[in-house]
Amino acid sequence: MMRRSLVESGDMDPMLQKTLDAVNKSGNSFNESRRKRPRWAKDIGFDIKDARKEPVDVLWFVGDFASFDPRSQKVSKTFARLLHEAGVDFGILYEDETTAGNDIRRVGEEGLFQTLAEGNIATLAECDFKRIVTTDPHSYNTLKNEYPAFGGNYRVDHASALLKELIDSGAVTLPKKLDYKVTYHDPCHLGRFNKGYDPPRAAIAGTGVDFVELPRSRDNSFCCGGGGGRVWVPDPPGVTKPGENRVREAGAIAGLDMLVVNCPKCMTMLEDAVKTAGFEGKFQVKELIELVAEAMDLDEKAAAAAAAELIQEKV
Amino acid sequence: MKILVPVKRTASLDDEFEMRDDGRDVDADFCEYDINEFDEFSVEEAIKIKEAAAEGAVEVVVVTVGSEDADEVLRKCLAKGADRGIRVWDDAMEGSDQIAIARILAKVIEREQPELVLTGAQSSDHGFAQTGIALAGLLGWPHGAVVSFLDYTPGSASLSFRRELEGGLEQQASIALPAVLTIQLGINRPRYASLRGIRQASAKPVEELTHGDLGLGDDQVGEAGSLSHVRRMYVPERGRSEMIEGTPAQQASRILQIIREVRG
Repeated sequence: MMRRSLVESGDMDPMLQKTLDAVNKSGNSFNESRRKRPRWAKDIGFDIKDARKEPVDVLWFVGDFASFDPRSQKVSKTFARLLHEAGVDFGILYEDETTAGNDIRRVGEEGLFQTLAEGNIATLAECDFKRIVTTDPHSYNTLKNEYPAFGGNYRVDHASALLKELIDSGAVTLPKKLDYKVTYHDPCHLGRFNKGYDPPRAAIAGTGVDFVELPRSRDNSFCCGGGGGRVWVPDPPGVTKPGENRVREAGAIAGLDMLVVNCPKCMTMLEDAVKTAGFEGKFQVKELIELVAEAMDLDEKAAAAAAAELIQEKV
Repeated sequence: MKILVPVKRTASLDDEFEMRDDGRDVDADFCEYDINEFDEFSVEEAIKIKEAAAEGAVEVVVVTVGSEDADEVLRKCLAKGADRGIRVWDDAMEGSDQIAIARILAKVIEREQPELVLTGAQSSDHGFAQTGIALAGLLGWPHGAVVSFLDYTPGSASLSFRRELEGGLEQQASIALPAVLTIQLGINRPRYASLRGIRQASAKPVEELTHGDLGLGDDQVGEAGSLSHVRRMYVPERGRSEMIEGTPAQQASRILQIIREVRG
């Protein structure tokens, strides 16, 4: 409420103001043209269905970071190939998706949030789907918990819940046992906000890795520093970044190979913190989706499929 | 007292864009529109003067020359604290150059009789930096250009200001009112207009005027009222350089040839 009052009086960090203006103009926090939103979906070897034009089981709400951030775009491509391989009938909204608005509401720009929510709800109303899935816990939180107040009632699942489902049903098999020591960072909006603690851990367990919990996990997890709009505003100089605090905690685990994240914003914040806190080369930050894809041998499968196609073409 | 702030709805380009069929501007589909960045600062400066004065002592009027689409720009200013808006437009104004725009604004100012006019130093799309000073010329008012600091107490007959010069110099000056000042970026920190504020601002009055209402003839606005006309807008080829060799006479004739090619 305090933030809303500050927004109404126009008083805020200039960086945040730029972001809000960008979201208002272009529908995303990256100030990119709407046309560019689905660009990441090129060059993945198949066309993702256009959920605006044909019915799909799963409507994948991609979100800003997963659409525009170069590191998270890689994860989006991997997730698309994973779903394709698992035979999931899915589609995206292409240029018509705008940011879901979770963090816009968190910083207090209620009017803009409502405009975004109403816009997305109107777009979704024209689509035929059974449920929404997103890799972004921020989008997940607002679509699931806040859109109903504006008339948007959907079944919404986080990607990690779908992953567990696909592994349990056998649609995704994990033939390759991974020999890593990994730990897992609970994203605020999936973990504490929505109690999505178990599906990601079950998916990790399926990959055969040596799993160690962080000292602060689940209900007592620690933010990556990117929530509530902080991802848009630089930390003041002289303070310890939450992300650095977090990666030091991971770095204290002896022999750690990977810090597994489950959110595009956590990826940005913690990958950055690994560099600034001096852990580069000591352990990697990986998305849960990437870990599962590796255990699926997704790259090998894709290569084999491409080779088979090539042979067929020649025949 | 009254402060009048002319504002412009400006275009910004996508990374990739196409030109209009007539080749004289960018296809509007490839532009994003918003209030001119410089005008954010002139509007803020006017509102700051208003807020520092007694309630009701200062009225801030925002004016734009543009089609209905420009209403969003006025509403943004009204949301920030301007009191009312004026939008001047009719089809005859299409193609007005910066002097024709100043002519239209001068007529609005004659009607409104403000003591102070604050424009942006330039527009962020076309960047002529002429509208403000042409306006002062047409009105016969003094002006200060590219103002970076402003000190004014409502009711006084003059104000003092500073302007940035090249080479790190600053000029301090005072000016008798009524006057026109063109405002430089960074003079203040423009506030944010929340979406709710913008919606609520639609309750504030916006007057719509045509060139006829202002007593301007058809030959004073639009293409007919403009001495400059855009012939072509294009992306110049980059990195094209050519070493000219040979005798001085050969070099001169090659240069002459290039000049003829470029002139077309």
